[in-house]
Amino acid sequence: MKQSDQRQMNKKQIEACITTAARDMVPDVLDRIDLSTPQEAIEIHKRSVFMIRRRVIASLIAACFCMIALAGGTYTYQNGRVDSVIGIDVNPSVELSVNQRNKVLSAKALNEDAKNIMEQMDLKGVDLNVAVNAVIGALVTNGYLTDSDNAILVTVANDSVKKAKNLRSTVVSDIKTALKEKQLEAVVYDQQVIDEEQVKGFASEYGISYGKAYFLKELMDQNPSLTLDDIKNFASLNMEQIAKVITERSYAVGGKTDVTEEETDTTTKATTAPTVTDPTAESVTDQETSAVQTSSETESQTTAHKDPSQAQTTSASPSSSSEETTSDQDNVSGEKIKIDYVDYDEGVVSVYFKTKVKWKNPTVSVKDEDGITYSAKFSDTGSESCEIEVTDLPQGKEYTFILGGISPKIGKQVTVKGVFETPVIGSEDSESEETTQAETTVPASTTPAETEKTEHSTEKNVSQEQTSQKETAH
Amino acid sequence: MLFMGLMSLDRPEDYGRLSDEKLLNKVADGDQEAFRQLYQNTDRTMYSFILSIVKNPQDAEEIMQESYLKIWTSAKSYKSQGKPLAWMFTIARNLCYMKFREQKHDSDVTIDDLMGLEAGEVCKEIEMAADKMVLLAALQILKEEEREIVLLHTSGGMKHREIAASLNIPLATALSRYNRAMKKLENYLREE
Repeated sequence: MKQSDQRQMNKKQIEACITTAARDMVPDVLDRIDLSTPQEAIEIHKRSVFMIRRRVIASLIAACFCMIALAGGTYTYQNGRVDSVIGIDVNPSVELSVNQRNKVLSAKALNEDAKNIMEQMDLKGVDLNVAVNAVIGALVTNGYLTDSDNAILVTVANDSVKKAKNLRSTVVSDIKTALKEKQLEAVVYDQQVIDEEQVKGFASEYGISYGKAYFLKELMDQNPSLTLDDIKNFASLNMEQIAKVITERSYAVGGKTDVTEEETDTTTKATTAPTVTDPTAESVTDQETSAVQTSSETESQTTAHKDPSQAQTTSASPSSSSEETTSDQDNVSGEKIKIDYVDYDEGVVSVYFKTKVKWKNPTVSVKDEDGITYSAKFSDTGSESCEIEVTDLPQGKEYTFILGGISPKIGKQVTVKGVFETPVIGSEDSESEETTQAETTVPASTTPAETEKTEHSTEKNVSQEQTSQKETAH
Repeated sequence: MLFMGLMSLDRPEDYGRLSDEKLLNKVADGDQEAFRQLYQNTDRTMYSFILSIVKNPQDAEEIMQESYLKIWTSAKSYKSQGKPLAWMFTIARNLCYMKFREQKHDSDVTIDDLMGLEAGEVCKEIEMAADKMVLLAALQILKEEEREIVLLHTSGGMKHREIAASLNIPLATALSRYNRAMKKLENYLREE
C-alpha cells in the first residue's frame, strides 16, 4: 500500500518531501563565522579596476592621437617638403621653392637686386601662380622689365621629369599672362634641370643662380665655338644682355620663345634634361641617326640605284631659284607619327606628316652631322605639316631635326626625328637636277614600296629605342 | 514632538524589513547586525543551492560556512545591481568548484575509496525516511542545473522569477527545467 502511495506520489508531494528533508538539514553556521575577520579593503580593488579601465581609455586616446599625429604629420611633411624649385632670372634672381600642391614654401633672393624687390613681399604659403605674378609685377615696378629687350630665364628643378615639364609650362604661361597684362614683351627661356655638382660650383663661383649657370653650361655645350672665357663674361651679364648677345651672334639655344602679343603659343624648350645631359640618351640619339641612314640607303638603292650620298642629295626644286630642296627620309621614334616628306627652302624647313598630329608646347632642335646645333624655331604648326625657321645653315650638309611636344591625334606625346639636307648652290646644279628627274619619274609606282620600307625602318628604330631605354634603365 | 523625533532617531533600525540588497550594503560598512539578518534571510536558500551542487550535506555545510565568511569579507566588492542573491550564489558556486578541485586532487590516491565514502556518507546522513529518500533521489538522478532549480524552489522557497533572475537564465527556461526535473523524479519514484 505504502509502495503504491509512493508510486502515485505527485509533484506536490515530491516538492513537500524535498522541502521538509532539506529544511531539516540546514545547519546553523552563523556562530561559526568569525565576524572579527577584517573585511577586504575593496576600495583598492575598486580603484585598480577603475585604474585599469582608465588606463585602457587613456591608451585608446593615446592611440587615436598617434594616428592623428601620424596622418597629420605625413600631410604636413608632404606639404612642407620642397617638391620643386623654380628659378626666375632677369637680373634679379629669385628662387621659389614649392611643395607638391604648388604652394610656395620659401622665396629666396639670390642677389642684391633680388633682395631689394623681395624685401617688400611675403610669398610664403601663397599659390605658385600668384607668386610668379607678384614677382613679375615687382620686376616691372622696379624697372627690371622694360618696354623692350626683356629676357627671362625660367628654371624648373624637380625629380620627376614629367612634373617638371608640367610645372615649366605652367610657370611660362603664368609669366606670359602677367606680361600680357603689363603690355610687355619678353624673351622667355625656360629649362628644366637636374642637379649637377659642376654647375653648382660654377654658380657659386660667379655668384649667379643655379638656373643661370645651367643655362650657360647648356649654351656652351651646344655652341662649341664658345670658350670658357666667353661663359665667364656671360656670367656677369644679366639675362637681357645675354639674350642680346645670343641673338646677335646667333648662338644655338635649345629653344627660346618670343613672347609677343600675337604669338603667344610657341614655347620652345631649352633643354630637356634627359635627352641632353644623359650620356645614355646621347647614345640613343646616335643609334637612331644611324638607323635613319641605313633606311635611307636602302631606299635609295631600290629607287634610284645611285650612290647613297647622291641619292640623299636629291631633288632641286625647279621653281625656287637655284635653291635646292632635299626631301629625305623620315624617322619616327614615336608611336604613330610618320613623316611624309621634308622640304628645305630658303631657311625654312617644311615637314609634312602622313598622319594628323597635335601640338602642345612644341620644341625643335636642329643639328648637323658634327653635332653643332643651330637655332631654329617654329613659324607654323599645323595638323598635317609644320614649318621651322632655321638660320645660317651651311650649304651641302645633312641635318637632323628633332621635334618635341608633338603627339598623334590619339596618343601620348612623342619625339619625332627627321633628316634633311641643304643644297649646294652652283657647281652641282646639273647633277642634282638629274636626281630630281630620277625622282620625279618614279614616285607613283614606288610610293607603296617606299612606305613599306619606311615603316620597316621605323619598327627597327622603335625596337632599337626600346633596347636603349632598357640600357638606360639598367 | 521633538521627543518623538529623537525617539525615532534612537530607535534601532528594523533590519527585518530591509531588503537583502540594503543589508548587503550595510554589511559592506561592517555592520554585523545586518550580516546576521542577511544570514537568517538567506541561509535556507544558500544551503539548498550549495547542496544542489555538492550533493553532500557535510561538504555543503562546510562550503556554506566558507561562503558566508567570504560574503562578510568581500561585501565591499558587491556592486548594487538589485541581485544580491546572484552575487552570493556566485561566491558559493566558486567555493563548491574549488572543493571539487581539491577532492579531485585527493582522489588521485584513492579514487574508489572516496567514491564509496561519499556514497556512504550521503546514505548515512539522509536516513531512509521517505522525505529523505526523495531528496536523495533528486540529488542522484537530476542534473546540476535541474537540482539547483528544484532545491531553490522547494527548500529555498524561492519563486521561479527570483530563481531565474539569480541564476541569470530566462524565466521560461527555469520553468521548463523545473517541470522536466519533476517529471523525472515522478517517473523515478514510481519505478522504485
